[in-house]
Amino acid sequence: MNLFTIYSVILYFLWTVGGTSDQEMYIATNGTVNFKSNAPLEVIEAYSNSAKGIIKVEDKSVAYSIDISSFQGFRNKLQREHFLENYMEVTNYPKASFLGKIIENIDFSSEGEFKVRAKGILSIHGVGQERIIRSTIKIGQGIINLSSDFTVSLEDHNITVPKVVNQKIAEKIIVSVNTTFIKK
Amino acid sequence: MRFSFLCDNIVRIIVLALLLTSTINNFAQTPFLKTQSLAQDFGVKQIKKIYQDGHGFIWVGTASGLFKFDGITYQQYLLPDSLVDNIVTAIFMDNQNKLWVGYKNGRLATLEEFGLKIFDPEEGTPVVAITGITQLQNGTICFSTYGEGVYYYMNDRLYNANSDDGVINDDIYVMMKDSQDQLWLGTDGGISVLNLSEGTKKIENITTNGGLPDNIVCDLTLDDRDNIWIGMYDGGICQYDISKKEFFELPIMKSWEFGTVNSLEFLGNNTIWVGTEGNGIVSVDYSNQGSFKKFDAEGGFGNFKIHDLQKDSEGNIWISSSNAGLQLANSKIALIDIPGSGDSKSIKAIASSHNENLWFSNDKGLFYFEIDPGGNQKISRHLKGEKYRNLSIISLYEDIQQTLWIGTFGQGIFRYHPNSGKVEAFSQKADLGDTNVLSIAGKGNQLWFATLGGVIRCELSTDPENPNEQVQFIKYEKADGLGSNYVYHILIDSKDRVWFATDGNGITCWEKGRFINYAEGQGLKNGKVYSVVEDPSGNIWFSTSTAGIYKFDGKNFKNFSTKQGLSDLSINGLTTDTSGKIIILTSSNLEIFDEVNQVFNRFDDRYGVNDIKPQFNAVAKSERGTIWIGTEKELIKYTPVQENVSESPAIYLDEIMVFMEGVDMLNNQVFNHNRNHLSFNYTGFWYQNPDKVEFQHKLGGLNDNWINTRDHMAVYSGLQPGKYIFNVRAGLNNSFNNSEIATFSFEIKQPFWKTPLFYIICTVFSAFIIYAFIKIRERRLNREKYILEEKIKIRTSEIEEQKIEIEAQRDKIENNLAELELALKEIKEQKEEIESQNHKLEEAQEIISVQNETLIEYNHHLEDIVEKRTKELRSAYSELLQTNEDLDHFIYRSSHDLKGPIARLLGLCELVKIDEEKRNVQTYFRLFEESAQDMNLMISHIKRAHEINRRDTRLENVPLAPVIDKICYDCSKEFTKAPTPQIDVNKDFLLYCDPELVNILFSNIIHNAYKFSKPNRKDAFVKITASKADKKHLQISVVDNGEGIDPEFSEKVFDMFFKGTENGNGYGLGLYEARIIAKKLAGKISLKIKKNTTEFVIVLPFVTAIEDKEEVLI
Repeated sequence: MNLFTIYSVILYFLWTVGGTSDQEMYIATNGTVNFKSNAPLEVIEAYSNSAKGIIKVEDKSVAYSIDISSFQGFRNKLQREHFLENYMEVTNYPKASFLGKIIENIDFSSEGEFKVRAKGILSIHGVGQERIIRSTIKIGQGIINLSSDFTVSLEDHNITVPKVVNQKIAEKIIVSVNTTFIKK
Repeated sequence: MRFSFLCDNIVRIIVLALLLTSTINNFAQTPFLKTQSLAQDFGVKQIKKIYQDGHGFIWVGTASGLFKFDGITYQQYLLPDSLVDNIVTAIFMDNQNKLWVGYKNGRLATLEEFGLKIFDPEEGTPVVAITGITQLQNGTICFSTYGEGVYYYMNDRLYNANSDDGVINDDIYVMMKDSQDQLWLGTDGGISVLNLSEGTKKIENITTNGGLPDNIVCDLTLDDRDNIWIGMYDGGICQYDISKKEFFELPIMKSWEFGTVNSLEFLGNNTIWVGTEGNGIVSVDYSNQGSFKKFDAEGGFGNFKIHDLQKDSEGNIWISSSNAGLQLANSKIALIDIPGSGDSKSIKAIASSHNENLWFSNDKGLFYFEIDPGGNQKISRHLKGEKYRNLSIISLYEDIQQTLWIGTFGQGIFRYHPNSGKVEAFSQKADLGDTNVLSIAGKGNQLWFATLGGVIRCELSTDPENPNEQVQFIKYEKADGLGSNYVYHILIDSKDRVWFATDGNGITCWEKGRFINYAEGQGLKNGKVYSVVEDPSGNIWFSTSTAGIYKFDGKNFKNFSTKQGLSDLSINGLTTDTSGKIIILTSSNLEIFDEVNQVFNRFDDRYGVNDIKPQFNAVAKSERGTIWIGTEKELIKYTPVQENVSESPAIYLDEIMVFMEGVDMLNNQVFNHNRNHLSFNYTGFWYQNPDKVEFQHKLGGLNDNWINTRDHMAVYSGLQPGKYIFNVRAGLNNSFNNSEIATFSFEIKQPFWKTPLFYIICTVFSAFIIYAFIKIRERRLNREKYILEEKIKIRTSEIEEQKIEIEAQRDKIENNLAELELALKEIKEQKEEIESQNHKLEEAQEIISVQNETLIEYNHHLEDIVEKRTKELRSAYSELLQTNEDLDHFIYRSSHDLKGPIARLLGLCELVKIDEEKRNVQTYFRLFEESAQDMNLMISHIKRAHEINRRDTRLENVPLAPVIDKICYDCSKEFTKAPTPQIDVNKDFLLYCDPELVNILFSNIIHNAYKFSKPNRKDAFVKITASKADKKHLQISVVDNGEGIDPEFSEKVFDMFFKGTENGNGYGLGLYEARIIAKKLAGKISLKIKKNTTEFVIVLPFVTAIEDKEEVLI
């Protein structure tokens, strides 16, 4: 999945939003994404608060995207630089995204907390992987809070780690997402 | 003629009659069903899924959890979370032998050693029912769901393919994997074929548009030609050719009226069993036009809902139905109920008809069994007419024109045309003679009839218009070469030879017009042959009445009887199955003889059918090889075994334990020598009759004999080191030849101390030690040598030093020597001086020694004096003692003696007192005076004695003679009658003593002598002599021969107050005084008592010379 596709998909969503007003959807503009690499010699953590996403009620679809460069909270500048330039190659692949559908049938009008799974493509570093991601959604008045924890395998997304530092970067990165979507 | 014939053969007839019985009953057809006890034992309500794993275990998924079944026991597995439902909807064992279980609520679990473990990947699991689980060749595990499409698990990730990816519908009923690793998904919207092998989701869909009769596809199954059979909601079943991608719908499906198909199972032999939603099980035969056969209520199916059908490795079908729970159907066997009741049911004759139908007869009549295209089986009665009511039909045969030839007991032959109903009788026309037809056989236009009077051959006319017109009958009898006229059975073999089983004369073969008879002479043990049959290889098999069965290959007869394992020698019929096994109908059972493995297997042991009682020669084989057996109460239809189905129980090694802990079941393990107690748990699978499973095991390396057992465990303990292979196999009825063997090879290590390595190590070690020892010694010796050498060197140098020193010293010594000589001279001079001084010293010494002696003498002297003094003191002491004693004595005696007079006195006083008259006062006073005088006298005597003792002695010379004389004179005066004393005393004798005392002394003695002499004796004398005792003493002896003294008193007489006799008026003091005086005068007195004489010897100091004053002092 390349950049163009992601953009176009998101645009499509937005277009459908604009086009038809009786399409129920929830939008998030500053979702939180944390990740942590727990390696024997080093722990790398960072977070971002500017993830964007859309949940469309009609077909239970979910779109979520984040600017790689918006990650902060690294231990030091050098670490962040490595992350951005060497591993994520942010100039080529500025965004990471997830595009998919919730498997379970959820009644979005009923309040409560539900355990759901979203099946879709997780696209990182330009490589898309079909994933089923388990999440918890809390439906409240006009808002949906989506939180999930999953692992990202560097190998899946072609993120290569030189042997020299492979004790410093974990093969599986622990990601957690927490986003509040507001009904539009 | 008939009558006489009857009489002749009455025995045979009776025997025959007894062999035939008949009954009639209602009919029904069902496969042979066994209801399993799962529902009963565990209260299981719904059995949703049945699955057999690779080892042989049957897994049952129910609403109450997962069950594992081995034919005997069930084991229940529940999810660890007790709150959750345990409705199992899918079961699968993957290529790692791990069991996967899917549940209605979407949960998945794997079965581990300790139980079920929930499968919970990161991606989560479905929330809808799991409908199927399978595994692709690359190891990916796939789960089909009803509502979420298909999930597949690979590389630790769970993926999904659903309608979004192109799957035709997310509600999947069934998932089936074909030989190309494609997944066929039967859904609510058609079939999707999913190909995941290249890592992508390639989907092809098949719907009604493509020819699928109904989009709702409920089950799929593969047949043996790689075609898929599809069971649908509304369209029955249809077939799809995967390679040609074509549908093939059976014409008969147009009349499918059995509703929704829930489950399909391919049985082989062009048969598919269909489990329906509300019509039980329908068996579909798709050969030719196809036909149905619904199993009906009698057998327990009826209109029930079938949840699942599953074929197992034995060819049995497991059935889960809503009414009977879990059942096991043996599709090979079908039991068909027949008209009649009680005895009338028993089948007399059967013959197979075209189209797999069957003619049979019993006492109730003649019947035709057929299955109509609609699948319904029908038994219809023929020859219902009154005429035929008492027809006793004992043989049947349908010819190529499909007319039925009927052989009867007593009424000859009939030919029945079922289509027209026409019946021809041939008793007269054929000129049969005997009208009892026991067997009919035919091939092509030839027919042969066996009667009790020979055999009849018949040629059918080939003219279809007039089939009967030219039927020719030729009779053959014993005379023609037939072994016997009484023939039980006829067989026409593949080479057109005709075989006759005769009564008593073996078997006769008719070939090209000639009869050849084989009887007891030719190798048969028994001549009564009941049945003949040909096997697929062309061998002729026949059964005898007492010798079992024979095989004839054209040249030789081979016998198989009880020795080979045949259990019952009374054989009612023979037939073969398509694989060449001989099926033997005995009167109690069916036996299947496998010649290749030389083993007899009881039919019911294999299939769990009970107590078959086949009737005489009531066996027929259809075109397709189906075997019909007529029994006492039913028809048994035996469809022979399909390929790929196990014929003997499968064996499975459950667990291997060393002592009490399990070990991995990897081959070629090596155990330590002390782990030598092994137990093997195994299971044998034979679901058709699990109770009959037997085992054999042996431990290669220990013994080579198979051990038979029914236990499920073999224990070997105390195994010695070595290599072993454990073998175990399961079988039925003691036949194990076909059984697969499960093995486990292991080795028990020699204990380390027995291994060659150890010996080598020991040897090497000891060699090493010896070597080291030697080396050490060497080294030590060398070292010592070295040390010694060093020492020697040192010593040498020391010695040299010393040598120098010594030389120096020698010089010194020479100097000293000179000095010494000088000193020597000096010494000599000094020596002379010393010698002179020595002399002086010696003189002095002499003087000293003289003085010494003097001193010694003086010393002695002093000692003597001391001694003397001591003696004196001692004697003084003893004297004192004596004096004391005497005093005591004296006082005692005195007082005693005084007491006498005093007592007298007192007595007298008393007397006076008493005497009142006082007349004798004078007497009394006189007596008083006497007593007082007595006392006075006594006291004066005492006093005198005392004085004698006390007074100082006045020593002077006293001449002895005058004293004596005087005393004698006085005595003779006193004692008038006394004898004249003889006195012999030297006038010169002088005594040195006190004169008074001496007087007293002699006076006392002599007085005594006088006193005690016997006055009247003539020879009484008193003799007094004096002589010198020694230089200083005189001895005076006074002898008398008076009364004498008792020798006893010889010493006592001298005691104070001792009176020898009572006479005499002495006081006993005389001798006492004498002794005292003697002592005082330094003399002594002694008494010699002789027989007649008494002699007193007195020794006193004699005065001749006074020498030493010292002596006097003493």
